[in-house]
Amino acid sequence: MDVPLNYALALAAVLFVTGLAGVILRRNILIIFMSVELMLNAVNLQLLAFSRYFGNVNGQIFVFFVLVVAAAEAAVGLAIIVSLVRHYKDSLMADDFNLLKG
Amino acid sequence: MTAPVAVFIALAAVAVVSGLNVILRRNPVHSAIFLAFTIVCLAGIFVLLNAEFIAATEVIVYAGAIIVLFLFTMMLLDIRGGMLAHQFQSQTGVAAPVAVLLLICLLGVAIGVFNFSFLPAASISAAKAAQLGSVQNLGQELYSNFLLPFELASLVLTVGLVGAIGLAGRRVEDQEEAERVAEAQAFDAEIRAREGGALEPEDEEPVGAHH
Repeated sequence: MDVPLNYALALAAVLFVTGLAGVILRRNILIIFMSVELMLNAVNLQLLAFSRYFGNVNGQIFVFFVLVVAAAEAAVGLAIIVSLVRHYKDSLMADDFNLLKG
Repeated sequence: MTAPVAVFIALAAVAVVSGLNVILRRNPVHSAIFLAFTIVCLAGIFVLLNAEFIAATEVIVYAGAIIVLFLFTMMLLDIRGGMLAHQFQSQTGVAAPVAVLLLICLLGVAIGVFNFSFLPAASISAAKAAQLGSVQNLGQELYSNFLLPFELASLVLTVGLVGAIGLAGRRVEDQEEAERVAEAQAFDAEIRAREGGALEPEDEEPVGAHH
């Protein structure tokens, strides 16, 4: 017998909430960013588990596109962080950056 | 307990412990290393779920590209001790229970408190499941039904590349730019000082000071 669907779903739930906790608890922008990656991976796991359960390859295709978007997002996001820290304020704390605050 | 279940539980345990370390470590470099551990464990689980190609892509894209990008960024930013002070938000007391509550809800759905029975691994035959994640199967689908999204993905990557260079590629010694930023910061401070004086003096205090 193989791994039941529920096991994969439970692991995905734990990883997603870990990522969420990282986003809402931490102040370091780099770690917030990594937590977002963790959440993306939890959702990927969910998609793959359901893809296998229903025998439908579309779930795996979707994970493939999520990976593409994650790569682009990481490149642009880290470029923004580098640019902010170099040109605006020498800090990594998320609440030090309030350029758009009214 | 069969072998796949045992392997799954071992990989899941390592993934969860590393995931917790990602969000609890003080040093972002440690977080990045633990994120790599999590990714590798997840790739192993993807193999158990008959997604071999996705598992390989996951390791190449995440562990090979994204984590390395994170590490390069940290190297560029030259993280000092002062940058690592005050690691947690002041709303921790609210945020942590909210996260735990969501975890209980999601686990309830996933494990079956809400009248879900334990579902089997797949509703299809084992032979068909083994074929599911093969490169042939995936490629056929990708180049027929998903051809347009596939081509658009290359566009997204190109735009991401150009955007990243455009954002981070500006030279530090660009004097004009530095002056403009300094001007903007001075203007910012002036506005804040004026508003703080008119409204309430505590507004001047930096956000992190009272933690």
